[in-house]
Amino acid sequence: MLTIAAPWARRLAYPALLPALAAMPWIASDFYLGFATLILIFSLFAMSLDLLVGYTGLVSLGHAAFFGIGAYATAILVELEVVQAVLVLPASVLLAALAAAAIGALSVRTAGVSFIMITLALAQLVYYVALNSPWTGSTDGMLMSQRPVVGLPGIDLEDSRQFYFYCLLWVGLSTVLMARLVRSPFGRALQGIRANEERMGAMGFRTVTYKLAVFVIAGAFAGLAGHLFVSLQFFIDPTSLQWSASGQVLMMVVLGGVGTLAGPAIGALVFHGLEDLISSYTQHWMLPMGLILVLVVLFGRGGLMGLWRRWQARRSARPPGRPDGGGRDDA
Amino acid sequence: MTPESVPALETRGLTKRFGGLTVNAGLDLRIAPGEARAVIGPNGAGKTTLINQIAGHLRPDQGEILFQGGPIAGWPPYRIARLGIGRSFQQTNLFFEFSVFENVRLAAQSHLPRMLRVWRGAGAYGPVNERAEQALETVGLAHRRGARAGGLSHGEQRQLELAMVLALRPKLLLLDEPMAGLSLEESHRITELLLELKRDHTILLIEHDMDAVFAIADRITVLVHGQEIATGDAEAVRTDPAVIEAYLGED
Repeated sequence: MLTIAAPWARRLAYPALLPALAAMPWIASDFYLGFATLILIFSLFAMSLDLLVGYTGLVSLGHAAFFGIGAYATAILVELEVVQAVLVLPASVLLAALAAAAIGALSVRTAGVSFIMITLALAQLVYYVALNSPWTGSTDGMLMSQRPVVGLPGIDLEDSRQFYFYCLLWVGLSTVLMARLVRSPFGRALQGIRANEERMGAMGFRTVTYKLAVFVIAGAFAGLAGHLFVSLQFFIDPTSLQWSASGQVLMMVVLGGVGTLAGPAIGALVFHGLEDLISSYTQHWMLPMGLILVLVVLFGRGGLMGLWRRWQARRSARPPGRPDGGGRDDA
Repeated sequence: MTPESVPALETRGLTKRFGGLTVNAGLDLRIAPGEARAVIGPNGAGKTTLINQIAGHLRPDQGEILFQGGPIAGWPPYRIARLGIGRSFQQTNLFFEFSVFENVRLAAQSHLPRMLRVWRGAGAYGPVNERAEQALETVGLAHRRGARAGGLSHGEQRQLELAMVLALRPKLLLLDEPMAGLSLEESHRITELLLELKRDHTILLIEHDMDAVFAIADRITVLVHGQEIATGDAEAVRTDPAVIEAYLGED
């Protein structure tokens, strides 16, 4: 739980990952560069949800609301001709965080199925606001006439390569922040709450406050993902914050492996990759996708990351790594 | 009142009912600072219910609970823990997937003043690590610090349970059957440990192991059907007719 991946992966895969990500605009065609940008954005979205699901044990089925609020805030501001990214981005993140504070305050005292239902219901409330408000273009959604403007010489986000780097910067920064967060005392306390909330209370932790704090943090990162998403697509409509959108990002998390940060990123890649692949054969792409998800849940404890780790442990003929979940002795 | 005369822990008319069943019936306990008090009684006497109310896991129906003279009845567990009341659980209640060290480190971490410490790694807080290390050494589990808590033997898990309470640096220890399920030898070790802890802690001990109770407790309270039938030192309780009646009379 504490490790992003097995140590060998950190030694080999991550140093290789950065140059590959940096070189993407020169390797990939326009279509695949757009696809890569989308994967970056959904990786961020899925990782932020895993802070709740995998690390704290809060299964939220309303996470798309914050993604949607970040996206709509960006679109509305640009529409109002507030186009500077330095204003639009913080405002979008802040609005998502505020919404998360409100929804979190109403939901984190509940647990289990109640928590799922309350987050679902409150997120649907946000969905209906987006559907019916004159500001949001109702079912038609909103077209954005341009991307936010960074305002530095030589930088133009309308260029798809530059926009890719804009996304890479924010997703990368967020990933570093989240990776530090989950290993910090705060992150360890979250994992303690997931494992045994009663004991955490008996040890003096006010668990409700921890859960509210992580709910707001996760909502803020989801809002950032929404900001990037609408800037990529020039478009947002209410389906992006519907409960099914929350369900899909939850699928990415489960597919990739809960309780890791790399897992949800892999989940976002595999999910969208499969969606593209399968939908080129049939429009009923959800059926095979559902079957694959069921198989991963049934046979891959810990999702694709879990499968990968166990396979790696067997291959290297070492004894399997120590159990995860805060199990490492960092002293 | 001089500070010495303020009890470390006091209950007044403490009453708890589950439906029609009265589990604690108007308990008046006074535990002096530094005292080791054992609460004994047959199963169902309401001993764990008493601890659950003091620690905040149950809300009393009536009565008061005072810690160092201040009322705490009905407070949430985290606030009571922060006052300096550390409880252990009868059913071993650990973070089973975490390492032994991480279990204790988390307990020690609860003393960090601010919640939102998100930048430095959890292992980088020297005082927290020291506190955790000390607690492990006190219970004799330091050599197992890297093991998974779920993989410990039952006896070791009971030791860890105690270490987690000690890492909180509590003034008052609420110990709910720390010897439950231990071998004779393991019980002896815990008894030795509690005798040591007794020197600088106030202790409320629930225990069925009578040898341990007589060795550790300054005074003993006997509960039967939620009522206090006797309180006194070992000799007084052993010879109390009501206690003999309660323990032997039903046979």
